[in-house]
Amino acid sequence: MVPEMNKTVDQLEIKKFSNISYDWWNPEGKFATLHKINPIRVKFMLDLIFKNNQIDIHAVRPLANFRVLDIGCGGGLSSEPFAKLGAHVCSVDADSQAIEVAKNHAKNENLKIDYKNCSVEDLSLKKDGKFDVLLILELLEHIDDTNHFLSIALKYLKKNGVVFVSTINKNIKSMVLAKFAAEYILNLVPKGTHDWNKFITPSNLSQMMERHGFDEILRSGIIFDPISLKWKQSTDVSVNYITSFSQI
Amino acid sequence: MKQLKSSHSDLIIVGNGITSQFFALRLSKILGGRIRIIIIDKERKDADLNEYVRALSLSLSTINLCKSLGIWKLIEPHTHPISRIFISHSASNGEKRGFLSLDNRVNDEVASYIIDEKVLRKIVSEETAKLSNIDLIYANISDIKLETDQVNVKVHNKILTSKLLVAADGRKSTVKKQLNIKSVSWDYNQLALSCLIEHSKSNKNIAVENFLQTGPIALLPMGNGTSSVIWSVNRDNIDQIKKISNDDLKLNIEKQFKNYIGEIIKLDNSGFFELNFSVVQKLYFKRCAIIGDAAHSIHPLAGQGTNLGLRDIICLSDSIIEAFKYGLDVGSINNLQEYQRKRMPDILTSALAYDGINRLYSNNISSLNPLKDFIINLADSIPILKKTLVRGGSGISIKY
Repeated sequence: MVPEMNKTVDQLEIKKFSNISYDWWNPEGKFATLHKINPIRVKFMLDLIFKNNQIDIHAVRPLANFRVLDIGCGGGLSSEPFAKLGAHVCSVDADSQAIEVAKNHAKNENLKIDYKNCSVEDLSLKKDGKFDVLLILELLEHIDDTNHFLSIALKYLKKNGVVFVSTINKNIKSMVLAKFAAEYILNLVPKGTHDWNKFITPSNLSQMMERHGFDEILRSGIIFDPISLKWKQSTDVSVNYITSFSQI
Repeated sequence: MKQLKSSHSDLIIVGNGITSQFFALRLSKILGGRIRIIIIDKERKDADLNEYVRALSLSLSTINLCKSLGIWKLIEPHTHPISRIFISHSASNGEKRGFLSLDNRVNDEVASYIIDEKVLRKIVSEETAKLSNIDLIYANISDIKLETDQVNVKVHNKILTSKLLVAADGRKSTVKKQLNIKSVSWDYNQLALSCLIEHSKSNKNIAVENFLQTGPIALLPMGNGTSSVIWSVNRDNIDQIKKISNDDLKLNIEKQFKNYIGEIIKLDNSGFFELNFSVVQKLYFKRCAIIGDAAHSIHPLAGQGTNLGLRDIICLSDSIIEAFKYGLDVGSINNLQEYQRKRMPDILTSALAYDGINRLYSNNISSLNPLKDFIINLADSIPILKKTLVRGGSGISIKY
């Protein structure tokens, strides 16, 4: 099925990704940096969920009663951890290749994840219902009209649900590091991955979310520590950051 | 082969020694039935209590591990505390020189205990046998395939899949060999003799180590009138010691330790083991982690080998437990890099320190005598250094 042309999906962006989709689960491949950042994102999100919901982390399926929507899931790097912990996960991506890779991987891992090759406006509230957790990870920097996208996506969140957004800050440093150094010098991500114009500052994002009726809960930077040679959470949000929101 | 519940597990451990059992025990204790572990060994190694005595020193880091697993109460009755350690070296005429006396306590707690290895092995394997999430298979493994997403190994013509392979199969590791994992190694040109003696005087929980020019000889307390002796000898003397009669052995040991033990009443259980130095270049390879003696075999002069291996399993199991908590891949390269980063400093420090001490003292270069004296006497004269030595040996300052 070819997804319809619509406003939230940039076809050019989809093409960029589908060319390298085969490599989603290779920790040393095209998505190597994402593999390094993913555990940091997942820990940030789950720590917040564990804390705010008094989850018994020793249970076999600690997230058994949670419904998670992962928008722009790619190969499913962050969908799988939620599914492993017992959550019902619905994941969408406009890239059909990525969805195929994600489906196969989940099957090998014995995980049930509801993967759909569509964009968020193709979902139906009637059929798919609302969710406790919304993941919008490394997605906003690939979207043209963020505000429009959010207005559609946020409809799928339950009243007391939580939204996680991770993306790249917009400043000179992020342009130099996340765009030019990462793509052209260090080869951390494929060339042309990012368009600096689509980067967004945490305060702009926060204001935008506020207009949709959401308050920011917790924000963290994700940085590469040159001493321990590993990625970690930080108060420094100048390049990569992850944040969370809930309804006011 | 016992019928497996499933050919897939979270973790395959190759080797069923003390280290891998502690590993499986700690993971199961914290994760319960959530983790499925398969342990593969080529043969049964039931603890035969008639086997010869191999004295193992348990450092504080190991004791704390046993306590956290709730098995220290089973182990403690079989242990013998070391309250003091005396260290000296001998010149060629046999005269003992230099003298270092260590109070073997950290924060008023005894810092090491001696136990017979097979007794510890029996206790730990009885504990692992109780757990239903662990399957034990006796077989040779072949066709190890480390893929991006999983590990495949062939056992009895059946493919087992897992997320992580752990090589815990000792210094002659077949996993290391099959995967062509390189170590830095050298032969010590030494052989160790181990025996158990009963003697007329109480040893008062004192451990004694004397560096002879032919290699170190150690006396470890194993009860009131019983001690274990571990005597390492250089290559030139190996033939001699292999043929030594019990009477001559008695005389030699008495000569070394008469002040502490009086006369030897009984000597038995003698056995030999080879000594070599070997540390893997990397503690992981793709989806395979290397732990215990497979990762490092070091000089036994301070009895740190097992303790070092148990510190490996604490570190590696911590990262697996965290991966479970967050639904992440237990065998990810990130996890294994983290294991390597955290463990390598401790492993190298221990391995090289004991290697250096052995090199300095196990020779007949008389011009080194003043240096040998100086180091022992210097260490003896600085209380804070003595505390540091005991603390270092206890392994409790290691951060994982």
